Amino acid sequence: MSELVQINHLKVDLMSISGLIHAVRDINLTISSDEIHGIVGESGCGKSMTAKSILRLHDESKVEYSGEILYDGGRDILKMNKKDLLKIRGNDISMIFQDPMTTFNPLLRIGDQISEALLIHQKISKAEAKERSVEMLEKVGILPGAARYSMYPFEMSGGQLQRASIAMSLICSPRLLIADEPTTALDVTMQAQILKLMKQLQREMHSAVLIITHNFGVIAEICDKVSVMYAGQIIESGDVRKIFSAPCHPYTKDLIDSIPRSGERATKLTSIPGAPPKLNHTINGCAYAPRCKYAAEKCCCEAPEFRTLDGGHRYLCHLAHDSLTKGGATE
Amino acid sequence: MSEPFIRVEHVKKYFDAGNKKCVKALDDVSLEVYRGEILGIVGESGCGKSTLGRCIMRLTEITDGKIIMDGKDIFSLSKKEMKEMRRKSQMVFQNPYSSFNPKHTIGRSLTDVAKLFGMTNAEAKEDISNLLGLISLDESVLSRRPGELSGGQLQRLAIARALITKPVFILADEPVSALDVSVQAQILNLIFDLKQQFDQTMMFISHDLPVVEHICDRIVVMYLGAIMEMGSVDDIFSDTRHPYTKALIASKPRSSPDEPVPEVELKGDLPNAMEMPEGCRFHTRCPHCIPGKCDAAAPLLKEVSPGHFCACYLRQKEKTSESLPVQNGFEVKDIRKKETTL
Ligand SMILES: Nc1ncnc2c1ncn2[C@@H]1O[C@H](COP(=O)(O)OP(=O)(O)O)[C@@H](O)[C@H]1O
Ligand SMILES: Nc1ncnc2c1ncn2[C@@H]1O[C@H](COP(=O)(O)OP(=O)(O)O)[C@@H](O)[C@H]1O
Ligand code: SF4
Ligand SMILES: [Mg+2]
Ligand SMILES: [Mg+2]
Repeated sequence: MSELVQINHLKVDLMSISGLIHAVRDINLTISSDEIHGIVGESGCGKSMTAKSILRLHDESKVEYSGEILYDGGRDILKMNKKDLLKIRGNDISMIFQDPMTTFNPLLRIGDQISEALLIHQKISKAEAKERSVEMLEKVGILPGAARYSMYPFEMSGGQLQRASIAMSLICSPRLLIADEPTTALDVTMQAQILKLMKQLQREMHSAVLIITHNFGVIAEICDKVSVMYAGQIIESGDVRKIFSAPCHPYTKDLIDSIPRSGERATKLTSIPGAPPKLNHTINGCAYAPRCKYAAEKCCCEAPEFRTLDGGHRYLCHLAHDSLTKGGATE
Repeated sequence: MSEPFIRVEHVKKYFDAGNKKCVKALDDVSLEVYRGEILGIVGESGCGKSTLGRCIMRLTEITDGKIIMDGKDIFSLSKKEMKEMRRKSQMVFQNPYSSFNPKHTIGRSLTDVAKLFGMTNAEAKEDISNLLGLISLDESVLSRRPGELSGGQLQRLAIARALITKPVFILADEPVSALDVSVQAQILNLIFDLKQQFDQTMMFISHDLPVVEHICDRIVVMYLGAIMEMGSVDDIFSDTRHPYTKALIASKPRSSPDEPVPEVELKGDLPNAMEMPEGCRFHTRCPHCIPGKCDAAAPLLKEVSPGHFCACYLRQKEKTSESLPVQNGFEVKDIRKKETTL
């Protein structure tokens, strides 16, 4: 397993009508080939901003990057010229979104759009491209592929369309698929199908996947590694099983506890009071302090530093690593 | 149980789809909503849940059947009775941003409703202030506009607005589906409080079974315009009878990576609403479908234990603990077991 994408000290500032927004505030993240990595956190925490930075999909007149995003052990994506960047997009790294309609042109046939993606990056005949697109449609469960090839986006249900966008994103056998909330707009039944499909294809094609979600249940379902994001920072990351069994950051624990569990009836759920902070100013102390059950005086004024545990497990909090299980007290 | 506040009797709602085809959004649905209960309506998108809600709120005419609210047929009310019905039953929608006027302050949106139902300014002010306490927001939100608030705050305000008229009944159509999981919990807890404090009667529509498990007393599982299973929360979760209900329960993401992967899996998409499958409408996706039986005639919705109804050939006999036989091109475990369950 090698490091496919390595993000070092990434910061993303965004010029918006309401002023400068520090959407990503110094994150480090490594995605290895052959793993499913999840980024989880509430809306507005900078997950999409991070994901889009990997492909530099922002309007670059409004965004300022610093830090580096190293691809495949060397080249910095943030410094690449347009030509090299376009070569990587779609071919090496591809992306799908919450609304599959953003992937497709509503006026063109689904199949033609998938073939086109292939023809841009590979020197093959049109007939060959069509054949491979039909194969790919069948692979994602759109059957029979040959008949569905000529359907238009509006003729498909949301779940089918998301499958089709997966087919399109995987047609060039990318080394990394970035999926930004791919199941958030779908029913639970469709969500279960899509997650299963993504996992199966990832294992078959040996590609890496970066999946973004606000739901820890999705992380439990398919991820190997997870990074938890809050207010533009990664506040905990590590192996999924470790993080579920012994979360060290209170935010991670609160997010896990807010998933409705079966078997619990007529009980109150754990909810997180308030909302994540606005990112248009600098944050003093720990960003989670105003909502944190364990916050002490120190947390409000002094920014915590990363602590590292076994197996690459890291977290950003003043609490000792076993505090959440013991009841919690800052050192 | 107390007398029902709403009685839906054999309601059909067909939409004309052109080409002599129609969508049977509701196909002979009968159910009751009792006073003081939260009734959950679950099923995938397109099953007719919102249509059922819209019929009950009289936002659309029905094709056939009857809806009785508080003893009166809602489709033959006088103007005055109609206004009273509008007061007594309120709605909360999925997207809180589209249910508030973006140009008005929250205070104005709430006072408008109060005035519409004849409250004085002073009464409205006091009521609104009490409601803000209930939803744990402070008075400063009244001068804000929807765009300045988070989805969770706005959805709590939508619930507060529904409560202004002191309704007997609240219909909540997917009130948490557009929200983050962390915020979803806030809304569910608020609804739970309404139930504990005021015995609020509610219908809660959702596509997510584990969500309704937390707050509902009874649950109706719908598929393609018809009821598949209906019963108390215990009936639905601890004595699940219908293969569709099982599949819905199994599709929830696991709450930890160490939880076992459920065996049941719902394959495929909802069939096209204009081409309703013959026989049991679930048979095209059902892992237990018995060829020649399930695809020939529809099973009736039968009472399998007191208050627990199920429309499936397999599960209408007494409760069996062994697993169901699997057919339909899947593995067939033991044919003899099938005969005993049938
Ligand atoms: N186009 C935009 N204009 C203004 N602010 C934006 C824009 N896009 C994102 N933001 C802000 O940047 C922050 C991070 O957003 P995003 O990465 O989309 O979060 P997430 O994907 O975690 O929900 C948020 O605070 C959001 O308000
Ligand atoms: N106004 C309408 N005209 C035509 N068909 C409709 C209309 N409203 C709903 N339908 C159809 O009725 C069925 C049930 O829809 P709906 O009640 O919205 O389902 P749900 O709320 O369970 O997702 C769907 O097939 C939908 O396409
Ligand atoms: S009646 Fe048959 S097809 Fe329908 S749910 Fe039961 S077993 Fe499945
Ligand atoms: Mg996002
Ligand atoms: Mg609906």
